[in-house]
Amino acid sequence: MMSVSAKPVFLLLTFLLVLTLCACNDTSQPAISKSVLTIALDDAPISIDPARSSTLYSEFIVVNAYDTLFRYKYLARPYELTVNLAASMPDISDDGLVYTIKVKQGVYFIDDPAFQQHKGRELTADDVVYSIKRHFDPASKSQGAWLWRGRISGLDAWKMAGSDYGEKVAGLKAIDRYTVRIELTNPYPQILHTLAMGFAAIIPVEAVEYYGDRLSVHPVGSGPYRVIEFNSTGAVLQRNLGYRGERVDLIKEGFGEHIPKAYGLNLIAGQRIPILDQIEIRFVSESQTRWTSFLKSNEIQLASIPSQMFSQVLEQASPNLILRPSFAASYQVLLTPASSFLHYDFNMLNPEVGYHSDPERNAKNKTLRCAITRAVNLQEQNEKFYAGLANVFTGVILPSMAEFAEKSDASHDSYEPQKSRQMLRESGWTIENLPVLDFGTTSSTQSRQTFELFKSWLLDIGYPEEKIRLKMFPSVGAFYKAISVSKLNFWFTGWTLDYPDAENILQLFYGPNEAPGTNSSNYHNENYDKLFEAAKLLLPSSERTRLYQKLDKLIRNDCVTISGISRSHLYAWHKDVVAFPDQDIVSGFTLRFYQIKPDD
Amino acid sequence: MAQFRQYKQMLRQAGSLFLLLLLVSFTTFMLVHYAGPDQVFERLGKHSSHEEIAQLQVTLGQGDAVIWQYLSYMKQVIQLNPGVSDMTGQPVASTLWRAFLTSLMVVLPGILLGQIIAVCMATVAVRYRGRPADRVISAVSMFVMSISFVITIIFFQMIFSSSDGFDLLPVTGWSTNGFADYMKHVSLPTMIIIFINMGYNQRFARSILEHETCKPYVSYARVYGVSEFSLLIRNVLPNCALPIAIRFLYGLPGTFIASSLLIENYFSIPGLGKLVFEAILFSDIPVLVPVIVLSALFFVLVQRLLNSWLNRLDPSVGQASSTSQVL
Repeated sequence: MMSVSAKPVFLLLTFLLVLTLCACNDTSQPAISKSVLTIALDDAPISIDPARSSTLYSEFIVVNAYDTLFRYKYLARPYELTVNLAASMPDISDDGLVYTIKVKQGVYFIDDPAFQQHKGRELTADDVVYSIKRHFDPASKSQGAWLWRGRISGLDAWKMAGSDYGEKVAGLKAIDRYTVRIELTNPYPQILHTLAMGFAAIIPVEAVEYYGDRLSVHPVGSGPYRVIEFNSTGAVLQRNLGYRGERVDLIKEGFGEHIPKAYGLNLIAGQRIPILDQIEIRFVSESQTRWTSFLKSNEIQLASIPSQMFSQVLEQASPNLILRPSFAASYQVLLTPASSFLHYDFNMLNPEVGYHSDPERNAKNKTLRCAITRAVNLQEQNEKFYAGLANVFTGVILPSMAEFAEKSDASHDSYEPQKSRQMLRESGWTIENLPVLDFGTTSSTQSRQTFELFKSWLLDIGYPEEKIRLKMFPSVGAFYKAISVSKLNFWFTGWTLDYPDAENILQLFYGPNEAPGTNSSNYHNENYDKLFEAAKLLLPSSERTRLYQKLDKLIRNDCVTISGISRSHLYAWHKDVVAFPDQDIVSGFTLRFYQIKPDD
Repeated sequence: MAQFRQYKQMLRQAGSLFLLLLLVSFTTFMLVHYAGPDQVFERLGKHSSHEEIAQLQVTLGQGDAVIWQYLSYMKQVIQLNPGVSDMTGQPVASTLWRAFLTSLMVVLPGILLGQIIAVCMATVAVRYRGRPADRVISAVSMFVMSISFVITIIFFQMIFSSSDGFDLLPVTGWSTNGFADYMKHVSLPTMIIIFINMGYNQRFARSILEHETCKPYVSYARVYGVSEFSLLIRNVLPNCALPIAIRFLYGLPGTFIASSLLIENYFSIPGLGKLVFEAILFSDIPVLVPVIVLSALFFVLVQRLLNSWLNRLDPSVGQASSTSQVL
């Protein structure tokens, strides 16, 4: 009896079983072909329009779909520029104002409906000029105009006059079919770095006219790859068959002793660029998912390891890196300092902690800032949050930079809670008159934990608990806004370098860049501004190094910021992949050099 | 006369629907406008100048009074042109439709199968009321109900998709090239959704079924020697279909959004949940308002549908009564 009436239930269960089984035993899917690589990015780009490629993730895709005049060498550390679309490094006039750049001949855009007869045409110097002008056209909603604002003569005036592409710009001209001439208002040695960024990618005017807003998902460029699929969870890049047939020159890419032999990079020597036929990029912001997917044999083959997982990979982090044997057997890893740093900022325009019209209070505020600086134990933060793998340093110049100098006078900003208490006491700060600190940060569990840690440091020097308040913001935009309108007096934030030059950090404290610009702590120091203006005109030299270090010292003397922690990236990849990953500076330029080892 | 009354009622219903949608769209717009992040700063990022901020504010129409911004937005909606997303610059209508279809493919199998399995379990539990089978099912339900969604996802991914587990199913890279490929990608989300909804659904169905078995007709049938399972499946279950279906349909929009939100973020699937999540973070009004208005519309339609369905199924429910009174 029962068996008859229970039939539907069993039928259902059987169906379910079959469903699961047929999903599991699916063999129709071909195994990953040897020339297709799948890698993960930590987050999704919002737009892959060069004018709006403001995030690392956007830039990562943009520089593969489009060409830039220059790029970073694949393997050289510290980072070094080399030619990409440019035929040679530029001719720079003696006064450093005029750059003459030759563009390679015979470079074609990919075939696309945007062009006549769907046939990609040749890229010329006019396209370079157009692509930079486009940032100064409000219609393109550019996020990158700051790179060249006030730098190229006539460009800002061109914008004021209505951004008419028919009008010539004196400082940005194609003098013949393959030569661009850039004339600067002042020396700007960093301009070569800007021309290696996604913002400076070369886009044909036809694509802008044809696609309009759809450019944010549909690139038309001349880069090594063409984007055949792009959405919020991934992108598929396919070899651009028409890409110029350059080959890998390991020496020119900066191959050297610093690269472990085990990575097998000598295999790529002489290969045609790009090496792989297809690269699939998955945007996986959930670190748990990224990790699980990476450990599978047939999904993500290269990814950055989230810091929570460090302990699963590493046997020991310091003094030297030792991997767990089981992990080392199947994967390669690279630990490399990030081109970014974390720091705590004071808002100098806030009279409670910053500048004050009363000189006595002004000095007292400075003592307060310096006392708080001494209370902060960055090494503890490093161990608690970053597995001790980050670099803790003083000043704002990163340890990975040539200008970095070990501080002999660490007395200003090293961790000394006793000295801190003493300073507060001696300068007349009491529980009653200490100002309320609003600790501003974006909303996340880690931010909350960071706040708790910070609070424990301040409690340790006798700061009253009720005067340390957490102000969390739901998004980066809301946080920037609060900083820009000077709502906060203290915050925890990070800075990721746009290009590998300390100038990009030092400008964070340059007076005229005050909020809503990048000088969000609103630091104003005439002496600093003067020195910075002198330093920013200089090419790398011992004189510039001296100035950079002087600027660094001024910031530390005034206790404007508590700096800093420079995190490390830990990249891991499957052993059959030949790679030297970098998400920060070389970023997307790495992809063209990735290879999958041929079967033995 | 009767016809006139019918028209009048229809008109009243249409009117109340319109008002509801107006209210929902207005509230959402205002909430996002005042409580959401400021798009100007979201877009400009770190290198902004006063001039750029002012310019972008003009571009975004932020200079206008809020009510005008709302009205100009509604004008677009009424013209069936929700415009382009502020975040990506993509047309909203096609983006939403694609994301909705993806989500449907991701979560619907789980939601449907989950409901069916839960009812089956409840039937078994009621059949063996108080016996070990019932207790085990109860214990399992309680256990499942007490586990968080996120933990479930991570746990299932570990078991079925990691190299430490069976390493069978994918965790990233949603694709639907053919039935087998679809099955491969949808299996794990389906299992998770079944698991997470099983507890509540089973407990609810069991209590309804149990209540029904106390009715006199069941006792009579038992006296006449009708087998317990046959009785449950042929008589009790059909009589309980109504409340179970009502609960299922009412819960559908919520379950749909909750499941797609978490599943899509953890499996990185380009569906509605991921879209909405990102739109909220970016305060992308052109994307958010249609989503909220459409889900309100869906809810109202479900309610209307249920009312008329109820009338047909059970005339005693009456013309004027609403489903909430039935429940």
